[in-house]
Amino acid sequence: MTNLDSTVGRDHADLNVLVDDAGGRISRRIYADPEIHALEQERIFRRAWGFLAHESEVPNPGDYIERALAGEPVIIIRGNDGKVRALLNSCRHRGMRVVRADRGNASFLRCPYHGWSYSREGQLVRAFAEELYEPRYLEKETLGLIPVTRVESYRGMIFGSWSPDVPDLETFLGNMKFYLDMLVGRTDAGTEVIGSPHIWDVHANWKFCVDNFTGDNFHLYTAHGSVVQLGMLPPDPMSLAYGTLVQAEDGHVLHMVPGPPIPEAEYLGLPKALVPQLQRNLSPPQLELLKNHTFTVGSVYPNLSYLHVMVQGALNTPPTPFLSFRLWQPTGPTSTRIWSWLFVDKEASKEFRRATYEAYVRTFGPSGIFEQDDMENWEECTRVNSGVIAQRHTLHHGMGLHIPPDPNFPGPGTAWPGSYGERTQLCFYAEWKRWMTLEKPWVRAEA
Amino acid sequence: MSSAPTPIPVGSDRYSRVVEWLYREAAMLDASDYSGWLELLAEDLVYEMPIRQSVYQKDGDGFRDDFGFFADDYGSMKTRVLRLKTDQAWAEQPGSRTRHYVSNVLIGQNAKDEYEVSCAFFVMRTRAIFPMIFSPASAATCCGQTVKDFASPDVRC
Repeated sequence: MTNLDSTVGRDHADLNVLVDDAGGRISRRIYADPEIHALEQERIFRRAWGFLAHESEVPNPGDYIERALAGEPVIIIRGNDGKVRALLNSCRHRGMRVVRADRGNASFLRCPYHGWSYSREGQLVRAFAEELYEPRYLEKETLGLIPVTRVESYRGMIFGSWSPDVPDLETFLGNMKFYLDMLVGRTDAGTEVIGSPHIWDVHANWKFCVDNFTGDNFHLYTAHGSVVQLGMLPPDPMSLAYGTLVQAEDGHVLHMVPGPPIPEAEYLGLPKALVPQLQRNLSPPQLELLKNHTFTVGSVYPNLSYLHVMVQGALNTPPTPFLSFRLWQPTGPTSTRIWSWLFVDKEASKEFRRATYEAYVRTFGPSGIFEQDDMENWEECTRVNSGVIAQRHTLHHGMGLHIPPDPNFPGPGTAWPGSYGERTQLCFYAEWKRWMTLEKPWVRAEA
Repeated sequence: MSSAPTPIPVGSDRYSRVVEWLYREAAMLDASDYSGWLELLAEDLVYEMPIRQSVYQKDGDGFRDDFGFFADDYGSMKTRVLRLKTDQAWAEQPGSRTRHYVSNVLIGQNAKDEYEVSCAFFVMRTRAIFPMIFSPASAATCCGQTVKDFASPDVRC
């Protein structure tokens, strides 16, 4: 396997040295370095599958939304053929941003500069003053909006990649599909998005966000100490330690944590009316895992995370589960745009939809009583780790590395007993290093 | 059929009382007197901040009625205040220095004898190295509070 040129930066540090995943030491430079940011865009975000949208966000032909892939604007639009496409939001004439709204419905996408118009499928249908072109100077069939190289969906979730070489989406997800099915493949009609995503910008490197969502349960009792003090989490700081850390596949990782031993906390706390559907749609090991757990958080490499937790939105209210997907898009070496979607099973009751919305927005929405404290840590870590002196010293990831895998865990991948540990973070950083240094990081050695 | 609220003239005695109330509310927030602020709130309050998207004008103003940044009631607002009183609410430890500016106040009196108040406000927040500016608009109905109550010395809204 060919290595990419792996020297980077002012001192030609080797990317393999910046991340010592075996030793649990990570260089602070990877969180605050313009060259590393540029390399990430090239080697990770222009190659890997990136989440774009949920199909329910564009239900009808002509419905469109604007998203980004590797920092470039992309139109997600449903064509007259019912197919959802992803197209670079840039006119083929002068490159103008064609669609300038966050959402809408259009018969044609008309560039506001000179009026070049594209079909819902992205074909150029009309240029301005076409009669003034000799036909060979306006070959319209070659001048459609530039499609995202690869667009594929998994259970309603649309992903795109700018790489012709990356394996198909399902191969890329691998064993992570088993765990995603427990979130978005568990009911007959699947999931949909409530509203549209929360979007906010933070002065933080995206990897601190992923790091937090790869299995960091043990920050809860410090970072979210206020909520513990209010009695909304059990007082025992080890109470979330009795779960499992899972490497589903490569950099796709998660944790699953049991809640209190009460029926309400089974099946992630989902409404009991949905349980017969879970039994129809999931395999026995998936059902067993859902039944025995209340919280699960994980990440699909490189920058899509999810959070399925049962939580009180306010004191003296019943804990309610919600499912939020997060996209952490780097907008610079020390800045990130956060996208947060609230998913719900389409067949959930009206009452549950309201309750899950309130639970989500009051806790993990951008104003949430948990979320706002997370931002403090990610922004301050990024700022301090930018320092020259700081960067002479590595960051520490060493918890639980001696613990052997649990051979009896019912799910695929590698599972480590105990949900306080830094195994899964290191899985993410190891995969980051592979994508940053290898020409074909998706090719694995034969097991 | 509800009729349009009757405007309360700018500069009138009733107008001044409402504006003074808003100024006192802003002063309490700027002094981090969240417990005192909570005392002002009615227990049937609904506090929402819808998200707003950029849309072409034919598609309206872009506010979503199904999704917001806040979806609070009295209980969740009280939870927020109690959280700020713990010593581990890191988003406000150390605390922000804020200044609220309230302007463009318009007041109407509706058929239920309530004031409907809209205003613009501007918040400067300084903390750590990232200054922030908020400038939303606000529309509030003094839910369940009669005009008489509102204008009394111990106003509650």
